Amino acid sequence: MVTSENFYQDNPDLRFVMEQMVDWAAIFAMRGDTGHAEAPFDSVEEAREANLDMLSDPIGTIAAQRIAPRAEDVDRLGCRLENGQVIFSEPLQRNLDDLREAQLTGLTMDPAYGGIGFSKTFYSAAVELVSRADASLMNFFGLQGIADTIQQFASDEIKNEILPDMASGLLSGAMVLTEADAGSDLSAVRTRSLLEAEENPDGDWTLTGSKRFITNGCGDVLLVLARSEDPAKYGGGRGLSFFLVTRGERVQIRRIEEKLGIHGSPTCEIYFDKAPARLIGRRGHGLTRYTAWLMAAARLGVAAQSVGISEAALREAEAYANDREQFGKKIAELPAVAVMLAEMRVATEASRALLYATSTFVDLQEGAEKLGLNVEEKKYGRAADLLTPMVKYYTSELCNMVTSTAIQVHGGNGFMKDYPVERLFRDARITNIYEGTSQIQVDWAVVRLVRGELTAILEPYAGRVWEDIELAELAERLHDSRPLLDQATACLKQRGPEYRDLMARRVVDMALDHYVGWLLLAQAEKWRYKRKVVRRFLADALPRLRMNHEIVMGDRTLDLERLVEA
Amino acid sequence: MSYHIIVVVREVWDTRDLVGEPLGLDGVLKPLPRRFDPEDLNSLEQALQIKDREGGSVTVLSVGQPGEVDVLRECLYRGADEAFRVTTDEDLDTGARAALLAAAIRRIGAHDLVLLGVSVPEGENSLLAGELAGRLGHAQLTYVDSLTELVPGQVTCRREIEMGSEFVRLPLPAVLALGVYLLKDDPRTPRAAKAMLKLKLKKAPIPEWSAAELGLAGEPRRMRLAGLTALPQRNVETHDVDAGSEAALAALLRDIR
Amino acid sequence: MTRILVFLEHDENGVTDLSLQALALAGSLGGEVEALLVGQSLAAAVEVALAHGAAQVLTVEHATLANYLAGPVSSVVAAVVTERDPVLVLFQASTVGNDLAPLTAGRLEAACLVDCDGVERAGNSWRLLRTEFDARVRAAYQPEGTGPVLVTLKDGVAEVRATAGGGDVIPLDLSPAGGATGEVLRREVVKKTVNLKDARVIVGGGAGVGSRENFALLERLAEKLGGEIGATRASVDAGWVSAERQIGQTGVTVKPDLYIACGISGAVQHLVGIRDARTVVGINSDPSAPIFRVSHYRIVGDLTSVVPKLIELLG
Ligand SMILES: Cc1cc2nc3c(=O)[nH]c(=O)nc-3n(C[C@H](O)[C@H](O)[C@H](O)COP(=O)(O)OP(=O)(O)OC[C@H]3O[C@@H](n4cnc5c(N)ncnc54)[C@H](O)[C@@H]3O)c2cc1C
Ligand SMILES: Cc1cc2nc3c(=O)[nH]c(=O)nc-3n(C[C@H](O)[C@H](O)[C@H](O)COP(=O)(O)OP(=O)(O)OC[C@H]3O[C@@H](n4cnc5c(N)ncnc54)[C@H](O)[C@@H]3O)c2cc1C
Repeated sequence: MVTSENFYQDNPDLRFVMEQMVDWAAIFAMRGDTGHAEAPFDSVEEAREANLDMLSDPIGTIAAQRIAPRAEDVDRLGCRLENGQVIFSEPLQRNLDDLREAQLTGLTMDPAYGGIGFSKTFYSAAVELVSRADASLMNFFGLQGIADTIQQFASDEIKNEILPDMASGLLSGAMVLTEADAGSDLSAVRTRSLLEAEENPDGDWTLTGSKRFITNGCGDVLLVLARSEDPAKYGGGRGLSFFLVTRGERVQIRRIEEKLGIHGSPTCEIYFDKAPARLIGRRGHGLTRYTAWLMAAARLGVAAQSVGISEAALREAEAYANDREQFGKKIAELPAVAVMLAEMRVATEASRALLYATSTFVDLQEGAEKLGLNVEEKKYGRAADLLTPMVKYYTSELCNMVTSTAIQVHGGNGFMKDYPVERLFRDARITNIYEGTSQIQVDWAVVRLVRGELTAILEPYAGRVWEDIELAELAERLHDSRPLLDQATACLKQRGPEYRDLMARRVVDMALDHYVGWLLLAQAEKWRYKRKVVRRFLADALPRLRMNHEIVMGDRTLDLERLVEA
Repeated sequence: MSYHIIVVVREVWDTRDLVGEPLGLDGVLKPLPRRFDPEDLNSLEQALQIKDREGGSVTVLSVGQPGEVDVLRECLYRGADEAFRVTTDEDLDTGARAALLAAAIRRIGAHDLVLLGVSVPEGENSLLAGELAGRLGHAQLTYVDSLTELVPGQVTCRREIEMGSEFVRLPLPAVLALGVYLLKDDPRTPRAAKAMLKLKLKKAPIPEWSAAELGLAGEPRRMRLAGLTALPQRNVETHDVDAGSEAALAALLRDIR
Repeated sequence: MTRILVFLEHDENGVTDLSLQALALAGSLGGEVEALLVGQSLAAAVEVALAHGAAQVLTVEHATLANYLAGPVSSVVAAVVTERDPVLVLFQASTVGNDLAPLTAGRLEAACLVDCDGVERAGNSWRLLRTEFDARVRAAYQPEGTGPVLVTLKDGVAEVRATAGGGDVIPLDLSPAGGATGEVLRREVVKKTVNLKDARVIVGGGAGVGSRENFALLERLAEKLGGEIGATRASVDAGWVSAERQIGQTGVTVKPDLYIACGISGAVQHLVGIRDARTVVGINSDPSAPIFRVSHYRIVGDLTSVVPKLIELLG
């Protein structure tokens, strides 16, 4: 295992992105962190330093020194269910204690409730760091979106009752959406919530039914999506509301799953037996508003988790390849291995670039919303809505590629439990499934692409002049690819929903190759090393983009995908 | 029962990743990164654990302006109640530093324990503890592995000695130099900085005292560094042996026997 | 004539080897060498001191000094230094000397340096040598001012030398300063039964060994190689192996032809004890473990699988 003392300090790319690429000034200004009398910080510089410093210590140090060394044990020991109680392993419990003691459980929550109130961009970095240490722990650490959802939508009474204890880490939460028959299609949620009108005229509810695949379902604060309306009147998504249920006798954990990876995260089946519940927000808005909000936050979290896992796998592979000798030299020097290492590195850095660009849009949107700046809120909101499913899809798929390649670099050793890449590979596999599979992300993204919502995001690059000749030449090539992307998008629009769904992934890939190209080019302006990275990226991305263009513009049909012998 | 504990902390060169030639052409040590003396950090943790358990206070004290790490602030981030810095322009020898610290400790006032780390590779802090205890007239113990009992007026410690350990009871106030070595997930592992405290205390003023303010006229220098020379390093040529290969292991055994 | 005072440590095995090295060093510096023995029932130790170059042996016998404790012993030593006025006082770089010398220096407000591996004359004064920075640099220190200089000396500063003997014994009538000083409640030390110092082959086990059962594996390997078991403080403290086998700063310094480090991270405090090993083999599951920096052979792997293979190959 590659050891380190500080996962932030030892990571030049993350530091570069945090220190030089993220537009903190804009984020702070929009969020109100700086620039007015009651602002928590006197200056942008001060706020920036406080953010970066926090990433370094305690987050970077705890990740490196405490969480990472326990990851192997956490994976091996897993969680157990005994008499309806989920039992955590000792190292997992220690991880949770460490996070709580370092006061890292309320990072995004409003200081009024005892949180730190930092940005999503900061939080993404924190999740990346923790996930590099132990991907499964992210499923506790990364659940801070649950508190955010309560903060955003619940009544003051609920907020005051619950949030301070969530900020201090005393209470943990779960998002309780999936059912046996409602996975990707949550509008099929059946769990009935029954209004106990007689007993509780002021509108308290009870929930009955079961949910499955619930991460940390044994948590104290459950946000549950349930059917509250008569299906005859309000079918599908419109009949669903959002409820808060606290742990108690009427919430039973029936089983926990045996899984391929993230063994440190208990995945529970829950049965609600007339469990008392409180409505959050408005009836009938459960899926469209609150779940969508919570899922968006969670998707960003999974993207950050994916980048963290990629980083860990990349490091293991680089270290191994520089250590292991075959044919009289380090395997890293063999061209075939060098190619694998370069692919992993480019994938990791590209993922990271997109993660923080997206996080920034989310922060700007949330800030604009708070400030009541409607135009900005719409603008950044559109960008965030498009990029969030894109980044979740992109980083999680690449993280699967990176961990798989990391095993390849290790050869037979990589297949063994003796090397951490085996665990990383297993842990990576969930990232493109939960919080919406890649297919669902692509679905979300393509609809917005077809609506032309990438245009505004690309705007800053459209008319930009690149002084440096090398960069100008690369920009030229990116410009040249734009018409292909536009044509493909237009083609989807024109050829209707079925063709769109068939080709969705290819067009999303094109958009990603194009946009990430710009992000990396912008990085290359600030760091010489990145010139090589963007060259290496474009060397694959542009031909891939052209290939996808050709396929989309061609004449494939759904029928061609149905390969069954006559 | 509550205890007032003073922890003396410092920044040290980080020699762990020191590779290659340690001295520049000018014979001066090449700049190394610096870190919070890990043994001092262990001592701080002991103090904070006593406070968490028994109540009382933890006051931290350091000599000199911060270089790379502001050790005093780091202590505040971990839950120390108060911090004081003794300022000096000079590069002091240990005796002079002990004199300053002794004066500062008297200024801080009533206390039960003074803790610091015993820095083994350079010995320096084991020296500081003694010089400090001698000047304060306190009981002292060095190479302290753990505090096994603390009751009003008395502390019992396990002290590491050659061939084993001894248990020693001392009257308070006492100066203890701790040499804690940590096993994996040792409960004595120093805690991390706390996010909230970090935000709150980022700019908290740390009171400073100069020698003059402490009523010292300046301690004579008794030890001077007269020069450094690089020691020839034994060049170890490392051969890799594949743990999975019987042949490689057999070859190794042939080589070394 | 300059007077050098040597504080001698002694235990149930008599005057310690480090103390005799200090006496030998004092002799080589030229001057009048006085030895100081503090404790109880000192007769045997006095004879040893006289036979190793002490021109005079000062003794302070007192019931409360039977077990070493810094406070009382230092009050006595400070009084002796004041009375005898030596220019140099030598102690041992042990958990006694490094404890005692600084405290005494603090009391006397005298110059002090611990962990020295050499003392040379420099005109009217001394040059004190010490290795620093992970044994990469030798630092030379120069005491200033007039008072006595207190120094603790590391293993290896001089060869122990027996001399003709003869000399005076001067019992001093001193008692430790009054007041509460504390007491040693109990000592848990092991009797020395092995001589690691002279072992040609040592198999060292650290925290990575993981259990007493696994330590038995190392014993089998050591047996096959005709060697001894050594340990880090971590494995001693875990109770897998006896303290007399601890190698390093507060353990023994060894110089075997072959040292096999199993599950040892390579902390400086351990490495100082194996610096003179001729060949080092490191077995560690962490490819970046510092032990590999000093290893001639580097085996990255789990010792619970590597060690049994080695045993098997040895037949
Ligand atoms: C370890 C783990 C933890 C989880 N944690 C939680 C949690 O905390 N809370 C929670 O509510 N849920 C949780 N889930 C559930 C998770 O979100 C769902 O498993 C996921 O959304 C997919 O749903 P499904 O399993 O029902 O698959 P299905 O929806 O049955 O999907 C099967 C396949 O069909 C594809 N597919 C389905 N619909 C479409 C479409 N419209 N377009 C294109 N392709 C489509 C999918 O991509 C997939 O390939 C967790 C799951 C796991 C495995
Ligand atoms: C005042 C003082 C004096 C000290 N004196 C001494 C002294 O005299 N001697 C001494 O040794 N220490 C001494 N120490 C302690 C020293 O600082 C270190 O803590 C100690 O040497 C660490 O021991 P270790 O290498 O066994 O344990 P660790 O540092 O915990 O290392 C264990 C190693 O085992 C490896 N490992 C784990 N599992 C396996 C496996 N299955 N297979 C292979 N490898 C594995 C790990 O990768 C790790 O590198 C002293 C400390 C202080 C403060």
